[in-house]
Amino acid sequence: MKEKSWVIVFGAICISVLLFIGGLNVIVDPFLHFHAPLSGLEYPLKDERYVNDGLHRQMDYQILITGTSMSQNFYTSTVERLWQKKCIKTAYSGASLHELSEYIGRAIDRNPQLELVICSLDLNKIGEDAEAVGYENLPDYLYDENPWNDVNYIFNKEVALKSIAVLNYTRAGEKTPSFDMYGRFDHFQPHGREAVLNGYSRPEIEDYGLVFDEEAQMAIKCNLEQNIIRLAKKYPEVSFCYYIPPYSYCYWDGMVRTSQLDYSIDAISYASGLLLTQENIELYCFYDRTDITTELENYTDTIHYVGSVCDTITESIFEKRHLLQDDTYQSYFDTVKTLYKEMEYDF
Amino acid sequence: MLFNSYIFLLLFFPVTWFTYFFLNRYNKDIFAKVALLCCSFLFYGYYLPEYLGILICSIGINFLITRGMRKFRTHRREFLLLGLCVNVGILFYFKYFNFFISNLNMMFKTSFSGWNIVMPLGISFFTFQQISYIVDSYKEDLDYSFLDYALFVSFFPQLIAGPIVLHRELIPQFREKNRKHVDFTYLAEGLYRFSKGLAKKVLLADTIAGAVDWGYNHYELLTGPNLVLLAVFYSFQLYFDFSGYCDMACGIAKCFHLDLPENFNSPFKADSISDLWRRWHMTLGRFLTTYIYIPLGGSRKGLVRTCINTMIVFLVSGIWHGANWTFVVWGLLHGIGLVLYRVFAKTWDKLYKPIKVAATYSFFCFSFIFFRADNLKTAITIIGRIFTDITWRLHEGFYMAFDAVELTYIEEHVPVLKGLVERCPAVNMWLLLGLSFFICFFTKNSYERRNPMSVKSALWGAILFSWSVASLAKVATFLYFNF
Repeated sequence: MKEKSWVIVFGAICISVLLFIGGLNVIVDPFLHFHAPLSGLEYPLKDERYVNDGLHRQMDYQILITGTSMSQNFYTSTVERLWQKKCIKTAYSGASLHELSEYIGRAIDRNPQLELVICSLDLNKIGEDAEAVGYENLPDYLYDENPWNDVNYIFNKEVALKSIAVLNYTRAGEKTPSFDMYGRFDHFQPHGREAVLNGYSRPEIEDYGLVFDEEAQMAIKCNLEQNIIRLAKKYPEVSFCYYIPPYSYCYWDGMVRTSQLDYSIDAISYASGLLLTQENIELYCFYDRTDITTELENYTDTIHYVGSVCDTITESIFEKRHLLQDDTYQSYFDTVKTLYKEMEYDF
Repeated sequence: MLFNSYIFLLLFFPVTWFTYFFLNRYNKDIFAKVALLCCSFLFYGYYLPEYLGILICSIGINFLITRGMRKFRTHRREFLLLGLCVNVGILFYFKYFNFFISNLNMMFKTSFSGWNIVMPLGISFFTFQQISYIVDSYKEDLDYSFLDYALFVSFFPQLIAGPIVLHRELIPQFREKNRKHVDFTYLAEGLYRFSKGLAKKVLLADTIAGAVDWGYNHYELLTGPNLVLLAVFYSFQLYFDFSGYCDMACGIAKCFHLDLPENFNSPFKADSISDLWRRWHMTLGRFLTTYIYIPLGGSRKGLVRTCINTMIVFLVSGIWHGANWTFVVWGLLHGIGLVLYRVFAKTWDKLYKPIKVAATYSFFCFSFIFFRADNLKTAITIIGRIFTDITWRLHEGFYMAFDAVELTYIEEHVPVLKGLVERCPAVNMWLLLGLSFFICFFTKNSYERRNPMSVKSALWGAILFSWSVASLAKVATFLYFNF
């Protein structure tokens, strides 16, 4: 074969293969980066850190439920019924406040209709570094507005396999999950006393010696100012409803036995004080709902709760119950502290 | 910029190639060289522009020194010494200063703090390249223009990771008129070679790297046999990565109608450590032989002096590879190996060849445990466990890293293979091990093979290229800890 013909054949095959892969990825677009779900195709909606950004871009919604895995079991249908507005849910397991602030900020930038953000405020995330990111190798090329680095998405064999998975999913007669079902796990993970206690390793009684000092305060202040307050200030027209997830009393048992209860409550109380200064931030706390926290049927593990608890949270936010106030939040947390210190942990 | 990146493959390389030959076509060869030089600088400075300043300064200083040698002939020796000091000094500062400080602190209980020094990419390579030029300028009357010299040092295919090219190999090629047009034989060979190099790097080396990185980060969890596999896989990772890079470099150069020297010649087929170093990183061996071993006297001054010279060369080689005692130990091990070979060569050469090859390869894997380990303690611990913990147990964290997405996709959709994976979860690891052994021990390398230009090779090359391009980005799997 002549060398010139060889080069032409080589080039033609390369271009054809890459065009095929690229074409498949652009047309099917499993992560909804370029367009909304194609009619006639059903999308399995997996890989939340890849597809959530696409959902923010392509969906029509005025309310966004987001946060960590604490938000995964929410029912968007409940939100839509109460607020009479369209709602989507995009949770990010293990996300730091920094990550969440980036995701929320981008969602608002992309969707001027967005009016309300409902987001978890996890106790174990408030003291993290203000720039903390929980995972490496996040697909930043999907998050930004730089079209050139979309080559990472277009000419990507793993995305091509995801595209094929979409086609197979459709052919198998499956349907794109509703936002009620997207990301939720309470329908397949066991919940109840046995499930929670199997995963709970009760610590020995020991004083961890944690003190909620200035350094700890400074860490929370930096984190919240950079990742929540700054966001709220940047988007004054958007309402931010943060809720403090009601961990089960197994969790508090661990805190009491290791003398971390005071530290934890002081930390969340301090954080609350910071957030309540911002006009468009509402903060809800359910620690005093011992009817929820002591009923292990509500939990899949020591901290994750089922959808019915999420509905309680949703309804409370709508009716503005369990809303923390600037002048009463401190006494509220003092009460909570006493409540869990004196509780009978009878598992 | 990396060869295995979208920006290089889809933008930089095609644009540079077209520009170079377009300008040459209209007899604008000076402009073509300037364009190639600018593109090479862009390639180098792409990630960190500060690197570029260091490279340009290094080129400028070395060129002035050699100009000084020509102009002030009676002071050639002083210029030579100045050149060596400047180059070694630059290398010492960027690569070894903090290592030196930390050892000073350790030995003399001082507490000097290291500096925040960013080591320029490829500094070891382009410094050695320029040292060779300065030494040759001292011996010969070399008269290159600044453009030719700058292009020789910074020509992008060989800038970051070699091969270490000599001026007499490359600069005359830039001047040859018949190399200034597109040659389809060279272009075809170049594209094919590049495709194979890219596949070695992206499909093989990077897959194996995942397991090796996991293994070295969790070596305490691994038993002896698992650690042996770790050492073996590291040898393959290093070979595929480095030789793949060199294949890409040579392939790109061929596309530009230029030839670069070879750097690898199936090193694992070596039947002695001496043979190994005639096949592994050949241009480094050439540099060390020409500019250190021979000036020290080589093998002309008796066995003892030869052995000392050998040890010095490998000490330098070890230090050149990195600022860590692990590299020094690695270098010394190879020096000792070569010395022993020299002493017992006659006995060794009588051995059955497969035994010699196996022993040489085993030595390679053993010595490279030091090369890869973060510190001596890790290396010694690993070696100790290899000999003391002989429990046969494979850790799933290690073998699961070999589950390339293509393989798992096929296995999930073919019932027979799915059953096989369920019975033998490490099957992909064994597959890659077998494939690596086959490629390294039983096939011809790019140096040996002259592929006929056929439809089959065009198809194979194109598949390798396209599959590699589609493998540059991944969809990461995050282990969500449900927070």
